[in-house]
Amino acid sequence: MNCERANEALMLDLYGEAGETDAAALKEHLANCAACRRAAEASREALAEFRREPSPRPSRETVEAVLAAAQSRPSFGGVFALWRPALWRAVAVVVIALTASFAIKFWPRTPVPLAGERASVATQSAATETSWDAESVAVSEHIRLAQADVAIGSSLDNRIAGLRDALSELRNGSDGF
Amino acid sequence: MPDQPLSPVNNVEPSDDALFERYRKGDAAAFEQLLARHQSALFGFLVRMAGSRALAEDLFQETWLRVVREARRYRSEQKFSRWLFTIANRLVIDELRRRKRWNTVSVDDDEAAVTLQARGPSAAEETERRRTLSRIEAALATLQPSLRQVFLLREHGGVSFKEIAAMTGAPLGTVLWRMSAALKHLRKELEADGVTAK
Repeated sequence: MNCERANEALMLDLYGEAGETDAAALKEHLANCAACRRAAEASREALAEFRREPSPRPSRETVEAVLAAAQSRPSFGGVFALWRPALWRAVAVVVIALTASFAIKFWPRTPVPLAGERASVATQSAATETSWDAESVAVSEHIRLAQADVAIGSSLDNRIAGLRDALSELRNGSDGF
Repeated sequence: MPDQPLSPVNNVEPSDDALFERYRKGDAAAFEQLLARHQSALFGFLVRMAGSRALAEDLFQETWLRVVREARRYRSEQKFSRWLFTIANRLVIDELRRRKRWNTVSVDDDEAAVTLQARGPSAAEETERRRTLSRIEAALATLQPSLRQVFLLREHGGVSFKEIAAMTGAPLGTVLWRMSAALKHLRKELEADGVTAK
């Protein structure tokens, strides 16, 4: 054990927190290190001196104020205990109701049909079909807009290709000079 | 009827947990007992951390009010005194930070007098005690707050070094170093005053 480790072990030992191994190693170190021995002795004396000082006490007014506050809200076994189970039951009912309403609202109503399932989709109710019609219109609109984007993109691509060709021709022409 | 020796159970004071459990069931006397048991250590911690008796009185009240308010959250696996000092430690540090005194804390000059009045020693002893006390208080006041925190939590709060490490978020080695540095500082101040052997 070196002096640094001995110092840590000393702090633990002063408060009875050192394990047996550390305590034995510290004892051995102190027997062979005069500097650490002096430091350990001085630490014990300083602590003893500190502990001889009476600890200040709070004023009577402060203590009475604390006691009054404690007495004004002591009962976890009185009225509170009577209505607490009822409160928790009410909270549980509200939570369950909210969960159920969210589940009903956000549960996927109609899964997207796979290719093999399209035949069975056709047999669904008229209301479902109306819903599908509306959705298919919306999807078609998205497709149309996407196609328009693609057309614009293609047009730009064509324009860029034209410019590249013109540039290439110019370069070829300049090579001729 | 021959005298029966008291059962060891009869001699055992109720634990903090037992008292607090009784309080939670509405026994105000149990709270009073708990307060009496911890008031001196807690107030000593707060006065010496805050460096002001007035501020310590406020923080003392606030700490116990938190105990009352958060009584239902208390779990008996946690030692009551550790819980109490965790609350007090958090409050005093927040307050010192708010007052920008976490790094530079002074001490009230009247602290020594207040403590001495309660003790009532002879005039000569009082003079000597005042001299010593002022050195101890001064030594504590000039300690870096993080060192003072470790020293006072261990001395007043009886909080173990491992628990202090958990409370402050510092590694155990750092906590032990802080304690050692605090003791060294205290030792140096007392040696300079001739209280302890050089």
